[in-house]
Amino acid sequence: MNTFDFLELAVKEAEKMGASEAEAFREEVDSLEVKFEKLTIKETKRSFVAGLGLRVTVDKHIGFAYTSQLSKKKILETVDKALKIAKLKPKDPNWISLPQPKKYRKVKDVFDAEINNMELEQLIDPTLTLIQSMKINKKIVSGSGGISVSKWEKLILNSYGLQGNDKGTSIFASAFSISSDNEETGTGMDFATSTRFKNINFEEIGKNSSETALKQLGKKKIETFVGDIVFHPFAFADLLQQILAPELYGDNVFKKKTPFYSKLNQKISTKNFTLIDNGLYPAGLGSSSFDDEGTPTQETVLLEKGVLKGFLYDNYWAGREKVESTGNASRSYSGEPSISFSNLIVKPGNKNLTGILSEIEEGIYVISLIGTHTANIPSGNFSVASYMPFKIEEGEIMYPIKQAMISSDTSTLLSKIDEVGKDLKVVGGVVTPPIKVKNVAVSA
Amino acid sequence: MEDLASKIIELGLEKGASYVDVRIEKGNNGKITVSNGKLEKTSFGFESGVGITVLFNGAWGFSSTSSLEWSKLSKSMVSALKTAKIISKKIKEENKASLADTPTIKGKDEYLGREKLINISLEEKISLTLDLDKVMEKFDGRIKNATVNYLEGYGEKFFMNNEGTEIKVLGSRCYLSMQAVAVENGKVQSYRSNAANKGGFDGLKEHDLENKALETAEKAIVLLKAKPAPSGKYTALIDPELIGVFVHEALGHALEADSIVSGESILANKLNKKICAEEVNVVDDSTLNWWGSEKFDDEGTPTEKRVVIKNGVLKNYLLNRETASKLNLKPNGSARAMNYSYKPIVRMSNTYLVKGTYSLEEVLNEIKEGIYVKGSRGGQVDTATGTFQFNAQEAYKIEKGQITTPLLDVSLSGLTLETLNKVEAICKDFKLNVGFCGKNSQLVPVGDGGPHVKVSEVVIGGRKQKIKGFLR
Repeated sequence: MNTFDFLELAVKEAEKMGASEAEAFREEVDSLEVKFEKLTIKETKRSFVAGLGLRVTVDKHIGFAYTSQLSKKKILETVDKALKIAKLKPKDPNWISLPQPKKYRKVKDVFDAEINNMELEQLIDPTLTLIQSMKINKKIVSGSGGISVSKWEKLILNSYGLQGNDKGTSIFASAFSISSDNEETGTGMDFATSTRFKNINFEEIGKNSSETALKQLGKKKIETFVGDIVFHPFAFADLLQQILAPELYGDNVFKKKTPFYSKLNQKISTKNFTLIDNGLYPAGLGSSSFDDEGTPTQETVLLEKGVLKGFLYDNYWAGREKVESTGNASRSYSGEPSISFSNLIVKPGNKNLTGILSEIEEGIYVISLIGTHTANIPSGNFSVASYMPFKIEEGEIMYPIKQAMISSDTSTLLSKIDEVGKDLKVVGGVVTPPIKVKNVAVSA
Repeated sequence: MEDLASKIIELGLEKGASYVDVRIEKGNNGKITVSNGKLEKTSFGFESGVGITVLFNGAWGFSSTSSLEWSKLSKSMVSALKTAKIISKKIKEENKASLADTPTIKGKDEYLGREKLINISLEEKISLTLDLDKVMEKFDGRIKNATVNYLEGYGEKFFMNNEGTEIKVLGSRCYLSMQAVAVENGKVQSYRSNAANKGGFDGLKEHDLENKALETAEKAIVLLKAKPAPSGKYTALIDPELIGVFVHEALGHALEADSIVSGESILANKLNKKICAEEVNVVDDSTLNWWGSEKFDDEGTPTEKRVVIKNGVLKNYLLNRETASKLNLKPNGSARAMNYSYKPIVRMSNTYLVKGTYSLEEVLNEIKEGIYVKGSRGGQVDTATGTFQFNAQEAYKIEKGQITTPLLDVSLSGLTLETLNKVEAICKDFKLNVGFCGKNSQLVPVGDGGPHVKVSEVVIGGRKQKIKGFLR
């Protein structure tokens, strides 16, 4: 039996045992990784994770079960478990149906043959290059990081004849540098992600990381103040995916667990800020022809020139709100779908980083943040530590800072976006330039 | 499982590995989500897989697969070893890995509790989550959303290495988290709490869950009245839950010997040196009957109670076999992996600050102006610089020894060693908490805790500026 046969077995068997609808979802992820530490190669890792999840409904009672093993016996057990759970669950009168088949569009550049055929040992030389490029100065005393590549494949089949098969690849390369001088420690980091191996410049990652670590030496203490903050794409991507994105998910909107539930078509940010979710973004790390319940992916405008234009939905929550699914169902084989962004794209502005900095009288430049996962999603409030912060004075980055906390909430932050940079950076599933926000409380 | 494991080990040794271990896991995991009185998600399933670790001339290779088929496993072994051989030529001699000795044992552990999860019907698990959800929802009309999550896992883990150690663990864990969201006049506030048990369902129910649910709803309502918090430096009184997070995040991660060896910890080269106030004693104890404990770690080493700070002096690190060998110390069973698909790394178990002598009243009375911070929404640390951030669930002003106005969304940040030196009083109360800790994408169950503690100065990140003197 091939993999698809097992999906078919699961769906057919579930229907035979009394399911009104059934959906089998299979996911396989094969990853290779080389890690380094103390600027020397340390270890290699290969992992293969795969499993099958089965969703059934029996007259609007929904059940779900999964197995990591593909055998006839395990599939039959899974069918049995899913149906048993469905019978225990109360009827959900709001359930409409599983998605119906629709035409899929192919996404460009999500599958890289080079990664697909890669052997673990081929990652060793690039890792050595990355390590070498970090050694730019004697003050760089240590460094860690690694390179990992993955290939994934997903298959889906449901009772309505919906059938999908998609695959993709990704690479992640990172460097973390430690500098030391006169008992002081500085840290720096850089990373790059892509769907294609060729797009990664290993030398640049190592060099950037170590340069930041050197610039972080000579840290000064600052006083609490209100000023401008320039977020590096790493920091802004972190805010977007951890805090803002969930506030635009249809389930949170329905449950009023977001400050934006009643703000559709209202201005919630400045005219500089346009944010799009695009599941078809060429070479996007979150791109795929269909989402994890088989709905075609699409481009969804979330904010246009500061006006809230849309939310993200999966099939169920779209049904609750009487809108169409935006193709944002996400899951692993071991869970039911939930809403998640695909690729979040910030529309770039006109200025480069130097241009943005040049207008600032007093502020900070923040490369990364610590603690965004502690934000309060329903209220949007967050209070995070800046990581690798620099003081900006009279238009220039003057010196590294010992400690600075940034506190605000998403509504306020969005309304104070003053500049959107022009140079986009791919940070996982987020693509954003540097962003300048006015008048934020910085505590030290 | 024994046969499969020995076969894999044999193949590894035959191909030249100096060390091989095999971890086979089979288990059932489940999750129930209830929101606003409705069963939203229920997922139960079976997961199995094998993780293979090899050492060849000082280089590690690791390979894992969710398949239990011999053809996949032998391929997995060959691939782990092949790359270990290649990288062993690229590693400098001083950086090569070696393993500190650990006793060869045939070990066994079982923690399934009195009411085994496998014997509790799905109906009972669902009705518990539904009941707790109802308690929160009914508490007050302003509770607009109540959510309860139930997680469970039970199964067996088998460990075998080429040195002759074999360990079989049969165990289960269950975990509940509750969240209440209160809404009034456009203000949205939420409060979260949790309870967990290593073992059976009986242990989970002993946690007075209904009261916890009531408290969760009540606190969300109180937060509606909270005022914006100030920014700047303040004297803080930290409760046992948040001090647990502090000890775990700010100190514990810096004590993990992998960061010591890699030069990414502020506590490197500080062994047997005084690093903080004499009153400070910190322990990581995997022998406690608590959530974060295991009898054996995932390298087959028996775990211990590790006294890491004694009277302000750094006494020990958390060590696996490799870091113990590098630092010339004894392994103390701190290697843990989330599951078979990860190589074990150095982790904490239950980390706590040992209680002191002061009563909470006398400490509170002494604070003329300050902030009382309670509970935690989580935290994070960079061990290289010691920069930490954590977010309190609740915070209150302290004025002339009295706890007064509730404050909104307070975070604390600082530098670990500076903050430890500012500990002024350690109270004599004590509480342990439960949670999960993430490191290198691996989540493991951990416990943390301690007493109430007064710190003379921490940076509070709030929304209001400090204007001359106190909060206005």
